[in-house]
Amino acid sequence: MSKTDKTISFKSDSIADFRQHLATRIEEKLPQAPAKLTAPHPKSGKGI
Amino acid sequence: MHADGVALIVPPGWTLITGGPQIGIALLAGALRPKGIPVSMVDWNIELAGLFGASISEDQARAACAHPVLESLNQPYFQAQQALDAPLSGSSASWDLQLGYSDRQFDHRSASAVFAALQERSALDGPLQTLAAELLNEGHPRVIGLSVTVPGQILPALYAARALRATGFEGRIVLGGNLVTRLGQAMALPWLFDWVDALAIWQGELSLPLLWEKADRRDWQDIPNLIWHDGHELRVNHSRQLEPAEFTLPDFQGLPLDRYWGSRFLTSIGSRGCYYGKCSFCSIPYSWGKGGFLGNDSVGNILQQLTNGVSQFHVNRYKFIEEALHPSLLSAVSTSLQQSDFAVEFEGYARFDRPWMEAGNVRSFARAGLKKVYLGMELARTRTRNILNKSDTADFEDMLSALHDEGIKSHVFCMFGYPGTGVDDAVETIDFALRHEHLIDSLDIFPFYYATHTSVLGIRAVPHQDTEWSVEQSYEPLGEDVLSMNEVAVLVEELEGYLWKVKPAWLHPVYRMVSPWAAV
Repeated sequence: MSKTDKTISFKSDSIADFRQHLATRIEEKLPQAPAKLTAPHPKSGKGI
Repeated sequence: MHADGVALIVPPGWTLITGGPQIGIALLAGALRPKGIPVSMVDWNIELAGLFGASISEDQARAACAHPVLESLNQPYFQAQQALDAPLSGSSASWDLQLGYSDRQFDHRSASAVFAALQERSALDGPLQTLAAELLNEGHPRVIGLSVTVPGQILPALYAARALRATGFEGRIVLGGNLVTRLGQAMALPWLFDWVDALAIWQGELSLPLLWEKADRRDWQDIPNLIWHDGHELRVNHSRQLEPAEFTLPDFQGLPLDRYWGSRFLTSIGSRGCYYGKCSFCSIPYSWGKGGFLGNDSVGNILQQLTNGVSQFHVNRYKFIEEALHPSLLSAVSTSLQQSDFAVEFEGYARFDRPWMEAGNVRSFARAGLKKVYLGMELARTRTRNILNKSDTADFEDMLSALHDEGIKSHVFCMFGYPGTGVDDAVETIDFALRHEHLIDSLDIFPFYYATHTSVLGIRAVPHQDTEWSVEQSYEPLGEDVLSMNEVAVLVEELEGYLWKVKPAWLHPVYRMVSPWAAV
């Protein structure tokens, strides 16, 4: 079950809900991206 | 190496995706040598990677950036990664080019796991003993300092200490560096002193000369910033930090400057720490002490660093490592550089502060040689951004445009999931970046993490007994408006995944090895 609040507009009780909400927001607000990456990418994060 | 001096070692695990040396041990050498203390410096990070056959040359990085798409940028990256992977295959350890060394069997965040790791052989033992023997063959130092800057160096640093002992070294071994300072007494467990003699926190410039001078442990109690074990109990000596009048110049003599990866540069320093130092999430400047800022160096000392690099090593590219370039100091240095007869190029970190936008500043910085700035934007100017307490008031678009117009590239740091900010802030930030993509050269997205030595509203630290050697605390939200740690991880994963599809060069480490210094 999801609920809303004033600050972040969405707060979920499950990660799956959260992921779905985020995917929807990306689709609504950002240009469409290719469905898949053409190659793997380096791991995230920096050592320094 | 002169016998009876100090040897300074960068243990494996620091990033390999860098064109220049870690500045910490060079600053120590710059403090010790003028006192007549012989110093040798070795970078076992770059040397061990080289022994494993891993490297990325400037030519390789430039070729990959000719048409910087994911496939071309990946080519030298994964070739080097595979070279690091091969010697560790069959073990539980891994060595990432950027993140350093880790072991799924022995979590370096856990003191008990690190203790257990030291009871076993490691895949690094053989090569580290080879490097230790080479070091000792050149002359037995009296003191060896191991600089531990990032978590990925914890296990290799202790394996290095073990290799030095196994190779016959009987002098003093000291652990120091940013991470050791941030962990402080949490690291000072009795068993650790079976492997090392002391932890040197804050600036080693103050403790190492005395440690070299005082052979008898009974005299150690007056050495500042030292944590040690006297055989009966733990001793935590008094603290003292450097005063600006005590700042010395980094001395790179002896480091393998031709072996760093990609486009080569020297590291340099204008300020010790962050002149602002009030961002509520940030503990990076903590290890400078005194609230994270010791002060600015003199313009003369900064110019001397640059001229030394040109005259001694024929290097004219520099990376200023302070957390934020001080605008008025940069202005003075830029004026002096334009009046001098040598040309340099440099990059550094910066804040979106109004003095950057004062008349003529950005143009002056560009003419002095500024090529790229790394800006802590964190979030677009969303409704909730003020809770980060950054107090940076320059307009993002105006400042990015001003930099771009003068040929200075911009890297933008983003941080998502700070308590009280959420999905819409993060998406709006990516939207801002894409709408200004012509002004942005590269970009990072980091998740908010609850750093030790910070205080953040809206969350509560959850102590975890197996992560006492971590500078990232587990936490739980205290309100409905705060994302959980899992949600923050998903937020970053998804938005970074999106950017890998639409702007891979922004995120790719190989692109960054070239971009400050070339038209890519």
